[in-house]
Amino acid sequence: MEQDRAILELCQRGHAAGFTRLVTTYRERVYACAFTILHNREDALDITQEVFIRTVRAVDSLALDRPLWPWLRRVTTNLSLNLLRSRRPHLSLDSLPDGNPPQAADQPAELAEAAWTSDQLREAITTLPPLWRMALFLRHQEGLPYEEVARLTGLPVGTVKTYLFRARRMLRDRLTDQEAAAT
Amino acid sequence: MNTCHDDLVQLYVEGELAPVERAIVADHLRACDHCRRLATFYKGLNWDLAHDQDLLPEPPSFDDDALAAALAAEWKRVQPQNSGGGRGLSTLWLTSNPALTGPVRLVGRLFGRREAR
Repeated sequence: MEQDRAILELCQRGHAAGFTRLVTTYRERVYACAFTILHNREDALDITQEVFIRTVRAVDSLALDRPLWPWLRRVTTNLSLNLLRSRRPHLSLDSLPDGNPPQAADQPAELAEAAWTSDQLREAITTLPPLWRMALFLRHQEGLPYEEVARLTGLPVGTVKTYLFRARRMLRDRLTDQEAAAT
Repeated sequence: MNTCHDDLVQLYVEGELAPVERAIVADHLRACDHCRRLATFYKGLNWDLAHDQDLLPEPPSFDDDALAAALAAEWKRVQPQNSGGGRGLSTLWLTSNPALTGPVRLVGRLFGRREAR
């Protein structure tokens, strides 16, 4: 909090040190958030820069007694979703390539023994539709409650829950498939 | 709860169920080997999703100085719109511009005479 206050105070006065600290403190978090949604390095870099530009434009209206990250996260998610929607206006951001959401079917008995590496999990996450991936990131990596995920994504809470159920089921399918293929 | 329910198991693992529901699912888990395995799986998955730093993208090399300079330039560009300094300048320009102050004085004089009458 104190760090955010110092950054904001410097930025509001136009001090170069404030802009440098803003960038060095939050660039990786903003980039990770954008990349998780977009899954494209160049797009995530563009969004990262745009997030900081928007922050500077609004810097006088940002409260000194509030943490900066929720603001940055909201701008990042909004800009990333807008970019995805502008690129794919006729495509749904929550549909799978084959259009069939994973069902809660019986699972193989070796489920409990399933083990995976970070690479396998990361690879499985890339196969999720963008909105599922975004919900997963906000819920687990950001640790937000369902209601906050719904607010940030502009989706009803029930839809967020459905996306998360399906996303985890799909990860389970992918990871257990990999496990079965390896044995 | 006589049948297996994946969504409820996920909510149970997350601690998102009401106490009554939680007790029902806990009873079911004691009796159902399959759902116990599901719960174990989701616990591990959720933990990794929250804590595995390797899941985050490799941070690219940022040109911090260039970005900070761009932000400083943007701040300077937007400041006249947002700060009192910009308004002060425009007020000064308005009051010192004879093309504007002339007609205003004339109207003031006309109204002043009417008042006097």
